[in-house]
This record gives sequence, C-alpha cells and structure tokens, in this order.
Amino acid sequence: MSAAPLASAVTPLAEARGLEVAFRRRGSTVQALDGVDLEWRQNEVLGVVGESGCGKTTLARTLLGLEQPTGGELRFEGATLDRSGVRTLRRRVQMVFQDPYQSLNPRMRVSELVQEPLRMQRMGRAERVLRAATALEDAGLGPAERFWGRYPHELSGGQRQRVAIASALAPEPAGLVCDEPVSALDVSVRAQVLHLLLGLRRTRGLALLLITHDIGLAWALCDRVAVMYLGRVIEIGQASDVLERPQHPYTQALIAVAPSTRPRAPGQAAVLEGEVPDASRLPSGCRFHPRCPRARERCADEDVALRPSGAAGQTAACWYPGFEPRSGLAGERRPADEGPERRRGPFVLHAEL
Amino acid sequence: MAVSSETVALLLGAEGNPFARRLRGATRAVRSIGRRPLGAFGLVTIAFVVLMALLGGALAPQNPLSTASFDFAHRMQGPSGAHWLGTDESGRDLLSQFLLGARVSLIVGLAAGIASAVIGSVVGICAGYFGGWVDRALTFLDDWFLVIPFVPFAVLMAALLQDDARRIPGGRTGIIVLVLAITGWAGTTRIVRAQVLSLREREFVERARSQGASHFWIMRRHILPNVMPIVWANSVLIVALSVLGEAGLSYFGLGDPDSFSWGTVLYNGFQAGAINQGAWWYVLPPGAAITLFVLAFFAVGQVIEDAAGPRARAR
Amino acid sequence: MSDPVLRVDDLHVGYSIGGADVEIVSGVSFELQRGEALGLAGESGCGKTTTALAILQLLDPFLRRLSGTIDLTTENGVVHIHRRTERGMRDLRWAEISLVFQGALNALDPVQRISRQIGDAIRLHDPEADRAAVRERVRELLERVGISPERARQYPHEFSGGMRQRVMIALALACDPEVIIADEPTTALDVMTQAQVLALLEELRRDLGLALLLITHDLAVIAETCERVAVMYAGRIVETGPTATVFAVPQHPYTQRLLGAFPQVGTERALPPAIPGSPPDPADPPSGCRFHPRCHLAREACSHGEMALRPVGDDHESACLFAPLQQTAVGGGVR
Repeated sequence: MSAAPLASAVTPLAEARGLEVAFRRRGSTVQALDGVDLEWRQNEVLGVVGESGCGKTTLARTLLGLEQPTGGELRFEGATLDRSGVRTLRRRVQMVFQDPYQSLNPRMRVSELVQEPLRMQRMGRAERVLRAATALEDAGLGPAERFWGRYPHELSGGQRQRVAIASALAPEPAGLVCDEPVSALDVSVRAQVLHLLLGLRRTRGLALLLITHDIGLAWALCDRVAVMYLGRVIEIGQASDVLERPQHPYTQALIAVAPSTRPRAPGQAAVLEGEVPDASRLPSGCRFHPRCPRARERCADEDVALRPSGAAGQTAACWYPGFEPRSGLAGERRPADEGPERRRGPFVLHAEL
Repeated sequence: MAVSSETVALLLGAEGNPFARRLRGATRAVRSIGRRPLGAFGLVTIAFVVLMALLGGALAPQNPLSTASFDFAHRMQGPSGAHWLGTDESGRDLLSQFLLGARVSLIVGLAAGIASAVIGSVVGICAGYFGGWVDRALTFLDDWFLVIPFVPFAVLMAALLQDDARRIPGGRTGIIVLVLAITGWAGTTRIVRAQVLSLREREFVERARSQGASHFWIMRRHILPNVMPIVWANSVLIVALSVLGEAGLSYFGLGDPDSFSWGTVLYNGFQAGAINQGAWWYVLPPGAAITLFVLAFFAVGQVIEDAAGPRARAR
Repeated sequence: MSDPVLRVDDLHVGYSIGGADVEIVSGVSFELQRGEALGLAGESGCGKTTTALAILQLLDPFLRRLSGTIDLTTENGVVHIHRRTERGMRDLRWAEISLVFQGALNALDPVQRISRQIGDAIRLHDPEADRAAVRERVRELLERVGISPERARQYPHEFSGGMRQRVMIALALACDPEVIIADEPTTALDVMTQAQVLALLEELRRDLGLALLLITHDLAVIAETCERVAVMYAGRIVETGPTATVFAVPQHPYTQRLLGAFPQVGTERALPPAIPGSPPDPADPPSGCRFHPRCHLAREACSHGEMALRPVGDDHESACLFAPLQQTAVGGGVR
C-alpha cells in the first residue's frame, strides 16, 4: 500500500473549520471540540490519534450527526449541514463501533441487523435483501445464507464485527468512521478485519476515518494522520511525515512513548509528565505548554493555530515546531540528567493544573 | 460483488411468515419453561385452570346464577354423589360455583395483569428513555401510585363507582379490574425504567441512532424487545397478585355479587358460617385453588427470571 | 547465577467432563528469577491468565490443577504451592505474591476509600498493626506509586484510569511481596498513561528487587518491560528466550505471525498478513503441534509427536520442528 497523495481538487467528504462542540455537564460547560480544522477527503484513509479526552470520539459523533456543533462550521460534500442535511449525512457516512459485543442488539438476527438501516429508508423488501446479502458477502460473511438467521451470540468477536461492518455497508455510504475497530478483538482476528476495511476502501471507493490510539495501526493503514489534543487538531499531514518526522512536541512524545517490539535507541524512552488537564480548566495560551519540554514564554501567553511545518501539506499548532532526527523527542529529558528531586520518577504531581 | 438472484429468492423465503416465527418462538419458550420441574408444575396448573375456565360452563352440573339452583332442602351438605363439592347455604351446587370461579378469577387476573404490564411498560420505557423532565414527571406519578394502599383505595373506588357500575364495561367486575390495574402498574414501571436506563447507553442503541433511527424506532425495535424478558417475569407476578387481590376484594365483600369468583365463594362461605359449622368443603376448594393458582404463576415467573437472568444478559 | 524465585514445572490445568480431561494449560514450564521481569505473551484463550491464577490458586471453581508443580522460594525456604491448602495460600497471597488485575475499576471496591482498601490488605497479614503504622504505610505506598498522599481518603471513581492502576499497584505492594503477577495491567489505558504505569513498574522492580510476571497479548509492552519472554499458544509455550533476541529473530512461526500483527512506525507501511483460522478449541486440540493447521510452514511431521522446547540459541528455545528458522520475516531492524 503506497502513500499516494490524493488530489484535493475534489470536494472533500467532510470539512470542519473551527468546529466547536460543547456539553453542559453538572452546571459547567465542557468544550469537547474547541476549534477543529480538518478535511476528510474522498477515498482517503484518515487517522485520528490522541489520548482519551482529546475529543476524537466527539469528532466522530459530530461527523455522524449524533452531536450538534455549537460553533464553527461543518460542511459535508460541500454543503453546510441543516436538518435535512443530517438525514442525508446519515446515509452517506456510517460508523463502525469499537466493541462488537455491545454494538449489536442481542435480540436481532443478522438479517435484521444488516437490513435495519435500509428499513429506515423504507426500501422495498426485495431490494433490501439484495443489498443486505451483498453487504454480508462483502464483509466476508459469505455465503449470505449461512449467517442470515443467526443471532450475535452465536458468532465470534471477529464475525460480529463483520456483521457491524456489513450493516454499515448496506446503505452504500461514501465514508466509514471506525472508532477503534479492532482494539476489542483478538490479535489473530485483527489483521483479518483490517484487511477487510482496506479492501472495502479499494472495491467500494470508501473513505475511512480511523480513530485509534495505536500509532502502529495508523502507520500501517492511513494516508494522512491528524493528532488531537484537548479538543483540537494539533498536527496533521501525510502519515509518513507526521509519524516519522513529527513537528509538534506532543506528537513526538506520543510516538516516542508508544511501546515497540523493536529495540529502541538509548535515551528515547522519555515519558511526558502529568496527565491531560481537565477540559473544563484549560491552560492559557497553547494548551500543551504546561507539559511541553520546549515551552517558552510565548507559549503561555499566546494560543497557536495550525501552521505549515515540515513536509508539504503538514501543519502543526506550535510556536517552535521542528524535528531533530535521532533524538526522538526534541529537547527531551534524559533520566540520567535529572537531579535528586526527580529521582522519584517521572510523574510529577503538578498534573492538577 | 453482487449476490445471485437465486440467493435473494432463498433468503426472501427463509424470512418466513412473521406470525409463524412468533408462534414457533412462543412454543419454544413454553417448552423450555416446561423442562424445569418448577416450570412444569406452574404450566400444568395454569393449563388446568384455563381448561376449567373454558369448559366450566359446559361441565357444571348447575348454573349457580339461576334461581333454579336454589335447593334449601339440601343446604350445607358435604360432598356426595350428586354434589361432588357439596352444597352452599342456599343448596346450590358448590362444584358449579368452583368451576365458574375459575373463569372469573382467571379473567380478572389476566385482564388486570395485562393492563398493569402494558401501562407499566409504556410509562417505564418513556421515563427511562427520555429522561429529563419527562422522567421526573412520570417517576413522580409512579411514586404516588406505588404508595396507594390497596384496600382503602379499592373500597373508595368501589364506593364511588358502584352507582355507575352499569355504565362501566364489565360492571362490578370491571371496577375490580380497574382498581387492580391502577394499583398494579407502578411496580412494573420501576423495574422497566431501571432496565431502560442501562439499555439506553448500550452501543447498539447508539449505532441505530447513528444510522438515523427516530426515538420511536429505537424504543420499539431496540428497547422494547430487550425489556420484554423482565416484563414477562414481572407480569406473571402481577397476574398472580391480581388474582390474589381480586380474591381479597371479594372476600371483603367488595366483589361482584352477581358473579362467582373463588373469592366470592370464600366470602359467601364465611358469611354463611362455614367455619363454625365445620363445612370444610365450602372453603377448602376455593382457598386451595387460589393458593395453587398464585403459586403456579410465581413458579413460572421464577423460571422466566432465571432464564432471563445473568446468562441471557451476558450475551 | 540462577536464582529462581518461582518455578513452574509441567503444569497442566483444566477440567474434567464426561470422564475426559480438557486442558486449558497443557504442560507449561518456566522459571522466574529473582528481580527479573518475564513476559507471558499470547492471545486470549491461550491459557496465560489461567496459569497466573493457578499460581495463586485462584482458579474458577470448575478448573483445577491436573498435574505439575509450582515452587516458590521464600526466605523460609521452598514452598510447594501445588500442595498448599487454601489456608496455607492465604498466608502466601499478597505477602509473597501479588496480583495486579486488568480492570482497576472492577477490582477496587467503589464504595470504600483507597486508604481503607490498602489498609485492609496490610491488616490482613498483620492483624496487630496499629492504626498509625498502617496509615503511615499507606502514605508511603501511595507516594511510591506517584499519588499524592492527600488523596488517600478519596474513592476509586475520583481517580483517572491511570491513577487507579497505580492504586492497584500500591495495593499489590502493600505486604512487601517478592513476586508481582500483572495481568494485562495496561490494556485499557492510553498510550501515555500506559508508558507511565510501565515506567513505574520498572522503577519499583529496580528499587525493591521485585520479580515481575507480566501477562499480556501486547508484545510491544513486553518488549519495553521484560528481559525474557515466553510465548504461549493453545495452552503450551512455543518459544522462550531473551526478549530482544526473540523479537529480533523469532524462531517459531507463531511468534513471527504475532510480531507481524503489530505494525511499527518506521517499517514498511503495509498490513501484516492475516493469520488464517482461529485458535483451537481446548476440548479438541490439533494433534502434534497445535499451531500446524494455521502454520505457513506446516508439513506432515507437524501433526505427530510431542513438540517439546528445544534450544535454538543462547538461552533461546523453540517448539518448532524446523527451528532454527532461516526466514525470520517480521520483527527485524532498529528504528
């Protein structure tokens, strides 16, 4: 699978500009998405990586019309979304959920599960069955008769996920949003499902939005990768650029810290301090500055948007971006350098910001 | 990759008639209940009572409601060849009253039970699914109805409505059903609401919503089928309690004097001094029948709950 | 030099049904050296968790040890765990061996404060300890794992996932064990939090001289934490050796495939080939090598005979007939 950049002259499938989604929780407002700029192009595999709480799931839900934007703009196939737009959206974008054991109604048969979205569109019976059977076979559950009348509990995890994928394929969408599609699956089954998703991208011309915390997965599957932190995209670009030559210190930390089966060059296992701050108490200036090893005065004072940095098409939201090869995390801390007060370990307790 | 038209035809045929499928599902359920000894006992007893209810009118040697059955010469007589369960204080055949009682008890129990189940489920699903002020309002209502004391309320309703008894369908019996339904639905609501609250957060509901399902769609196709096991288990209990409630009401004299339910027979028996006279044949059959009938429902309810319990939920 | 603190020899664990034995763990042997970290890798269902539970005699009621020995070396000499009664085990659990579970939220009591839960563990093994001493120890433990002692009186739900896992670790350390068994300790955690928890385990191991048995399906986690690794499949160990060696030059086809399932940044951008089929049913395992139906190297000989571990290098053993393997496909190269 080569990293061929796709022509962006075509209207993107979805486009977010300054997208905001806020929730009211226990009286206070939580900004789950706080100005997301993102383009999801036709037929591309776009990876969204980040820690929990960064907003990637909210982003997925908003793209599916499950959450309403409270600010900014969200365009879908060129048009801004309105009420009827949301209904069309639901046919053009489908979601594959993380847990195949929970995302299928245990009381519905496979046939009903796969036909359900088509029933909502009031499709005729014969056509429904045809589309559903086709979707099942495309999802690798063929011949369709074999699985048609089964219940989810009669299927393995991998098969259930395929049913979920078939149900997403039946309405013939343009894009699939996959939220950790394989993390709940066994290792030997993962590869099968991943192959399926990529194959569908080829045969059906689907666009895939892959939400994952697994950097290796993003590396193997995605054309472009977006990194999210605290409700914003802080770096985006071609997968090979972002993951091999990351410009933003957070991306660098994420990649440096991801466990690997390959031997690591010494001094690279630096761990970031603290935890992601509570979304209701955001830091001033650049959101990442309290944990950033490169932070300077400007970072505490001024917020920063995505700026071109690194390769063509790569942008990072940092005042001092840059990647130095062979040192992993630019400006990292080496454990050996630390003074006595740091001997206790890298988790300094100033996580409570 | 298109699917062949033969396959499509095959699959269309495989779907089958929805009614046939439901019937098969029901038979399967009944069979699985009957496999457990407790369930077998329950089902057999209930079947027996149903049989009595259906055939009672034909089998009864007498019609206790007609004046022709009065026979004061043979009043308060024990079981004999002519009267298998003896006679009451007016000489009427007690066996006929017993058989007829099955019908009334069953009808009242079922009607009240079903009404409670339906009302309770609908309210519970709405409250649990919508949350917010809908939930608060419905739960408030539910709390009030839970607290209503059965007997005083029944007496009150009976007193208020007795003049309109002719206008209410079913007459006094209809009033009893109404009273039982009103006091019975609140318990179901509690249970259903709790289940719906957890179901609402399940991923398959999210998935349906993401595919464009309306609230109604989700409630009908996703929430309802998944609360049905609990509703069934609970309804069975409610029916049992309704039968008991009806018997209680009748025993207190609030029943329908124009019909014979087991409770009415008991009431008549006590009024006629059956205990003092040692006329065990009067009170024992209806009393035992009520007990067994209620136990049968509890037994079936227990089996359903075991089947609908953690094993099924673990799926 | 060999100083094993835990020795498992030919362990078979399973259940009996209809007169026949179904084995979940089918002849597992390994040694855990004092102060060493050993990774037990494999998919779900391969028997690694069952092995851990067998060591602590915490198996499900319908499972039991069918044969084999488990020996623990304590300061009082060698203890034969396989012969211990339940009462005997209670002295051992937590005092000598602790277990860190996967889902901290499920393992911690939601209605008890952290201080109480850790305190209870301490008191179970030292009923005479006075309150002040216990409080002090709780503070000390929390500090050790990087949690501010002021949070001792909080409830589990007030902590984030990573913090809860650290509480679990503090709990495991409460009675100064020699061995910690960690079962998927970081699976549900974020990459960053995972790194922090692993670094903590590493630091504790160094400072306290603990031996760690790390059980997980995530080979990368093992690569970062463990000196040695044992790869399990269908109840058996198929390869064992130093982590760096096994992952650089895997000598069993299953290990190769498993490594391939974890794409790494910097390697070729392609999906690994899928492993066909699925793990076998323990009640009906394949004859001979249990992996042979799914193996790309399988021949006739693979379906017969005992597949014992054979040395293929320095301290490196494999159960494959064809080892040492020429093609070591995946897992090579430095970043």
